[in-house]
Amino acid sequence: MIFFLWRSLASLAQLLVLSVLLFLFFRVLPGDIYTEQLADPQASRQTVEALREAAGLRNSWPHRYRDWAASCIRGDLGTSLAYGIPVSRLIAPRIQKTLEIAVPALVLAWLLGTGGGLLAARFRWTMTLDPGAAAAAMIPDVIAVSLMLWLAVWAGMRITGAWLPIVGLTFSLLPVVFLHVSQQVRQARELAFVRIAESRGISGARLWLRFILRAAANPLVSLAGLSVAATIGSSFVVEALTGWPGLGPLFLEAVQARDYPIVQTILMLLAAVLALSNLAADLVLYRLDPRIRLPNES
Amino acid sequence: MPLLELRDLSVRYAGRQPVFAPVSIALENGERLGIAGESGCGKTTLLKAVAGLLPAAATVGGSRTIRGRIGYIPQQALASFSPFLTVGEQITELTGSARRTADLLALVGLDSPRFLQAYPHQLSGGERQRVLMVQAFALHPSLIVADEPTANLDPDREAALLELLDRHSLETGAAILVASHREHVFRKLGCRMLRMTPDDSPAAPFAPRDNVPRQPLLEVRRLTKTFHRRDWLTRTRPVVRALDDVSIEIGAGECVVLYGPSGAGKSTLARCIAGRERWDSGSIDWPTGAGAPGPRRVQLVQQEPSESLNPRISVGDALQEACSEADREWLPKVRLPREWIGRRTGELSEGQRARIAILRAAAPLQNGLLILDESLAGLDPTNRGHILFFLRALQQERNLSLLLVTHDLEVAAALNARVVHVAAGRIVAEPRNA
Repeated sequence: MIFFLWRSLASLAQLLVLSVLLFLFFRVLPGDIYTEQLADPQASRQTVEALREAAGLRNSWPHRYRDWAASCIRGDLGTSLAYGIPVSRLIAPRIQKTLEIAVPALVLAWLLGTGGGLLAARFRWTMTLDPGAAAAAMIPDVIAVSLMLWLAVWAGMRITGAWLPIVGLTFSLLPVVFLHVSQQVRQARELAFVRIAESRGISGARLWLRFILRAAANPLVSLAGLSVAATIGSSFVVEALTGWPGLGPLFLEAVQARDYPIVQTILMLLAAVLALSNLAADLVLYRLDPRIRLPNES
Repeated sequence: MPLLELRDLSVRYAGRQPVFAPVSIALENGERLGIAGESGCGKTTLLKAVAGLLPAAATVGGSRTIRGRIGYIPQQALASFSPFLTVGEQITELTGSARRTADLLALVGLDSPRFLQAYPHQLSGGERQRVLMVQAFALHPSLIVADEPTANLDPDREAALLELLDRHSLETGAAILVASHREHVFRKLGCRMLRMTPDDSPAAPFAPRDNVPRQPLLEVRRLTKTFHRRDWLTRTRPVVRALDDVSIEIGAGECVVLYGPSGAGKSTLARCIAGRERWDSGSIDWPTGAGAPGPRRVQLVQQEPSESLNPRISVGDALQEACSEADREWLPKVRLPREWIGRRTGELSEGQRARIAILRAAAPLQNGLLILDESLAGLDPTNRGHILFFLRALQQERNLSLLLVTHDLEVAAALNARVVHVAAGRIVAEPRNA
């Protein structure tokens, strides 16, 4: 319980520090959404300055940070400068769309990756499969998804719908999961206590479930935590390429238009997902590993 | 037909000399054979070859025939247990019944229910060693293969355990193949003996230095510490009073030995001084301010020192982790050949790794305190001699203080140490060496 409280506090502190850094980051970037309008001969300098004033962009950054944080706590994430609609109304349907592809991709990648990795380690195929998986893990998402799009068009398949982004996203995570599972399990099989258990006649499901998989699980739980945020990050690229109306295209648009309330909200959302999934992974590890849970008494 | 027959058995790793000269052994039911020899001569490798536990990279030559089941007692106690299962679960895995598990644990003196529920990392080195023996017995073996089965035990426990091994073998007719650096183990078990050839390496003495007058380096005042058991939901209850109002002083350049039975609180005191454990009340002061707190002031070498080395990195890298000036010229200080600087630590024997671990711990210390927590327990006389020589030289050269936790008074004598008796968390007597 104490562990849980401390670990949660640490996550909260991470998010706080990150939000300040994000704020400073936008402060350092030159220009804002009104910079381009200055080039428009119809807009006078006074009008633009008045707009800036109204949007609160002329206040000092600690002041703005305070306003922003206070309104976030009230549940108001600000208003998009480009669209003039509350950010929350803008992103809510987008979040749903992103989850529609990210959740199936996560489940698929972990099912296929764990299954494949286990088989590879069980039958010692790793020597042949691992280099391939490593190569696949190195291909940037942009290239892999473009290739997939091109293949789909070439084969005359329908490129609308959710299947293409889901497959693309699954393949961006799958090789990483496969590599980790196969290598962890292969290493676990060589651990002294596993070899000794085997030599004492423990075999089959008992050996695998109670000894090998327990030993391989720890780093995989940490990876599972990280992979949630990584998948949502990758989904931005996949969405932008396949035209899936999730957070990705909105994020790109907002960045180009310097629509900072949207950019900021989406980045904070990503950070929160990362912090939460890591927190969950750490709690699972705490339950799983008696060396963390129980102090040394001897 | 014999129970175990080895014909010209040899083991080699790719690109290296064979680990030992070819060995031929035949053992009948109930027979006993002791493998003697110094650290690094291949005892462990031979026993692993018999138990079928060599890594895949090893090439085995000759032939090996075994009839019946082997009960293997490995040397590295902690690594031989799954950290995720309780001791009870790991034994029941082999016995099949909780009742028999409890009986077997009672046989080696671990009958408190605490041991059934404990995880391996919560046991002391000696307790783990006894659980390993229980696991070997649980299999009804016709051959017991034991690698240094009593290395981490005090003399009383050692005698008790050897008697158990003896009785078990008499009752079940199991043969025994035991490796040890202590020859009285073989005498006690009535073994034939096979001696494996030792390795030899040159010695390089330290430049001696005059003794500096002694100032107090460390003052421990009225230290108390109670261990609690923590549950998933904050509930805590006191379990063991490990330290009960302990005060002790250690002078600069002095050597102190903490002596006492298992569970007396010796290790806890050492760990508190090293800053690895928090204490409930009392104080630990460093009056001369021997450097800032940290690696230059105090170093702790744990019970199985070789466990502290990453087996995949080289000897040189392991030393440089602690001290960037480490180079091949250091190795002769602990009587290892200079060329071994590039070897991976996993390729060395237990005793050789222990020497590297102690050398590494001493490296960053200027004039602070080196603590050895039973670190010499598992070593043969040769290795222990090398390390004692090194420690004496260190004391002279750098005015280092030593704190040893041990149940071997010979070590205390060899270092001309002040012996402090500890029992049940208290200092019971502190005789001065004449």
